[in-house]
Amino acid sequence: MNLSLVRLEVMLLRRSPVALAMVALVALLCVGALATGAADLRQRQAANAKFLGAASESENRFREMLLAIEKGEQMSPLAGRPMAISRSAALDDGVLGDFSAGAGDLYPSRVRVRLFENSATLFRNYQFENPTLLRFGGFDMSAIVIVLMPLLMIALGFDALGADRATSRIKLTQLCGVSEQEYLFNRLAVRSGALWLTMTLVTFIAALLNPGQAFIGDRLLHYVAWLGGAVLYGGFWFLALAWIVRRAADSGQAVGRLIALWVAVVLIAPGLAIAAVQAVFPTPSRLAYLSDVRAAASRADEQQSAAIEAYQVVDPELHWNDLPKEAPFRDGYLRTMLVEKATLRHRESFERIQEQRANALSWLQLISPAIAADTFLAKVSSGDVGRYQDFQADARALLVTFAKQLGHAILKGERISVADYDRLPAIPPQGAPLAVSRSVLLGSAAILLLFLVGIWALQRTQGAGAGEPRLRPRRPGD
Amino acid sequence: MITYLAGLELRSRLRARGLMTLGILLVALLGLSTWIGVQRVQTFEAERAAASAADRRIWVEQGADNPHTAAHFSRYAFKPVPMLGLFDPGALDTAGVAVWMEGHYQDPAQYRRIEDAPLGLRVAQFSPAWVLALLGSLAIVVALHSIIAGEREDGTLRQVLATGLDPRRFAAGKIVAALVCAGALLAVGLVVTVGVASATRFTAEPDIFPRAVLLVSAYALFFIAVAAVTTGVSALSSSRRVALGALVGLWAATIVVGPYVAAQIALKLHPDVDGPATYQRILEASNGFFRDKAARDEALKLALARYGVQRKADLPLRYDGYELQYSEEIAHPKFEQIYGEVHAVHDAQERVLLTASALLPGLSIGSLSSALAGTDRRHHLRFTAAAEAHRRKIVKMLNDDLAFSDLGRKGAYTADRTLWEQIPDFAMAPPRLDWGESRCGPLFAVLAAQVMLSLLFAFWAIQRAARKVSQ
Repeated sequence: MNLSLVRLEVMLLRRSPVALAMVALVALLCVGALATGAADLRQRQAANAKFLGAASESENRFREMLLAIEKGEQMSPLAGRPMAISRSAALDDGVLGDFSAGAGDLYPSRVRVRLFENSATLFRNYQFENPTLLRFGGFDMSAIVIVLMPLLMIALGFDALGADRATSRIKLTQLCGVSEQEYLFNRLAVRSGALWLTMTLVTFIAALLNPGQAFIGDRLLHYVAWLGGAVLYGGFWFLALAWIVRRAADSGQAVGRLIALWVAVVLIAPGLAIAAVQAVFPTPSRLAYLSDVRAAASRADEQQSAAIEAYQVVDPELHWNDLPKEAPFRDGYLRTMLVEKATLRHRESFERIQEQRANALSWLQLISPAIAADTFLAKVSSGDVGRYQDFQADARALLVTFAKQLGHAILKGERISVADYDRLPAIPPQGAPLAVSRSVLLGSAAILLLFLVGIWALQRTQGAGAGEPRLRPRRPGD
Repeated sequence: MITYLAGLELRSRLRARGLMTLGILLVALLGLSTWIGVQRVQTFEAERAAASAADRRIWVEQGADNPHTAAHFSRYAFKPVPMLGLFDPGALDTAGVAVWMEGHYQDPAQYRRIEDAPLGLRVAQFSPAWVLALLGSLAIVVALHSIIAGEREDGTLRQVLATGLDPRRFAAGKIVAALVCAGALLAVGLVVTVGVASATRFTAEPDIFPRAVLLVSAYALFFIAVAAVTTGVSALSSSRRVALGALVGLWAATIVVGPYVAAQIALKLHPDVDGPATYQRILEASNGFFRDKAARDEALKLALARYGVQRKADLPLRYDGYELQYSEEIAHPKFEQIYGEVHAVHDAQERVLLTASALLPGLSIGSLSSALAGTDRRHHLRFTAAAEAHRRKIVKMLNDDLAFSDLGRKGAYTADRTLWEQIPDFAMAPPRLDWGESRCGPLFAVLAAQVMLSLLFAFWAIQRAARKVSQ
């Protein structure tokens, strides 16, 4: 860094109303996004707490009922039956939940698992959001970093060299022993640095002052990772800016090329990636799945004996003749199991497609740093789609566990003991991203680093372009 | 003179190699996005048709059962996909596609396609409407940024005006050239979109032609506004560099980022309701009756009075069916209130967007485009309203059957295929273009006002530039 150049550039920046307005805009948008994120987080946490409080009350009542039955108190024949057992869970918001709206506005984050529900009905009737606004998604810190910051960097930096070349001021600078590249890097470092410093300052304060329910050390660790990803992405744009500005004949050409690059990286490449993944790995029809669920539910009553026979394979002690004629809720249990069995193919197919799509996208990060940055920032701030899909998968897995552990008792019309009830599992918490998604995060970070190295190599090898005025080499006698 | 100037300007644009590359890229993206749109709409329609047929089969073949049990099982309404959804998917992906018309409850539409989307970057939505609005407008900015600023920078503006040319004619010539550029872009877009779409077979809605004409008009207005603003800013700029910098900034602010910020403000001012809590209210609206002994006694009293008898056993009907229908009918206003509150929040959010669209042409064209394509929220509401009306109809048929059929029968009453076949399938007539709720009028008015203002701005800016150069 050339300190004189930096000081000069800082002075110019402080005197430029446009530059100051952009810095203020970054601060304003970051504060707005983080304040909105924090408010949404508090609202979600309050709703989750209310839901879990009500669920816990109901689960405690059930347990008391079992205790009373064990003590020999008289209860209704329907009371304390295993079909009524439920476990509720709410997806926690992650340690940097306020940094990313992510997929939180799309997917359900609360569930009550019980054997009256099948996989298709575990999550339903939550879709009350405005579909018009869902198209836009939340304007969160990830959007600011991925979409807006490069644009503002371009706006502040596209003429970092053009005017100096046009007026030949650059020759004077070069005569002072400063190369064009050094001059450009210092100017861009100050201009882009002002934007990034503002963003870092605001986000750091938010990370420090607004930990929510997270442990502060954990939050700061995730924040450092988040900032690392953002800086890698910003570094790509910094070097791209330097490369294009240096190679362009004038500022007009530079801004044209930079905007073309921004459109390609931020809009077209992700759009094409999404379209390609959807075309190559189409999701099985949700409506066909629904039809199969309904058909299986409709046929369930006719197939109950077949279901019991199937049970006998798993549990040889269970015989149709040994079963009491009237077992409370047995029909409901068998209906759920028959639906689950009939739609297993669909669910496996959904899971396989999701896995294939995730694999494809991990490769498609290589076509645009915006995709890699989105993957990284969403993942580290717990706003990624995968987290919600995992929550749903965990709920379905718990349903299967319930069926395994309670099925026998339901079919025989028995209750379970309090000890067995207490041993029933619950949906596990999702875990902090740095603990559970390290490989995905490292992969995305490596791809961002690859872009950074690639653009650095490009600007090293092809940095000097058509627009660069070259000083005539000194000849002897000059 | 105006024609000559416009022709001269157009020739110079056509000679620019970069612009030709940009044009080819735009055409390729339009073609690709249209092809993807066609595939999507065809798949959605095939899925809907198959699901509707399966729903009927499952319903009719469910076997003998109590009509109330059948009302719980009930049927599904599946949302038809308009053909123009291939051009602008609007809220097709973000709104549910199926409504369960079950007894007791008015459910929201389920199965939003966006929940299967593989990536969170919602700014990237690949459709012809997206390509035209975002990249078409950017192409106009890139093509026309130097239209006046270039002349001024090269000194030719002073030369041209020194010949005694009326600045108004000069302005008109430049604006006509800009409009022809915008028109050419739209024509190419139209040819590509229609070309790709017509290569596939569709069952189009009856008013597809006027809708398509209005869509073309809307994008023409949008491009005229963009071209006029570009020309005006170019006239106010001292050089190509300044013009391009200012215009790109304006484009990013009004077309790309602005709509997202406006959406965020709308959400902040009018937050969405909590989904699970709202559904809990819906459950309460119906279940509350059965837990309220006084309300049930009141219902019985009304039934006895209506039929002029003293005892429940003397009623000329099966009271279960009567009471179920009574509970349905008293729940209807409660559902209307709950959904009314939800829709009021959504309406308030969209009023914010409409207000913001006065300054953000990207928002106004997006709203108008999806309204004309039949894919906006209002069209979705039309579907959910039709589904609810159908739900009420079929639940009443089932409850009435339980209440009044085969009264002399001993034991539990069950209905069979004869009744199931009488239950009509869900069908919804496609919305007409003059449908009052479509909101196309106000959106067109906003866009037309933007065009007028931008043309006035362009005239003013060019004349100002001419005056300044002449001085």
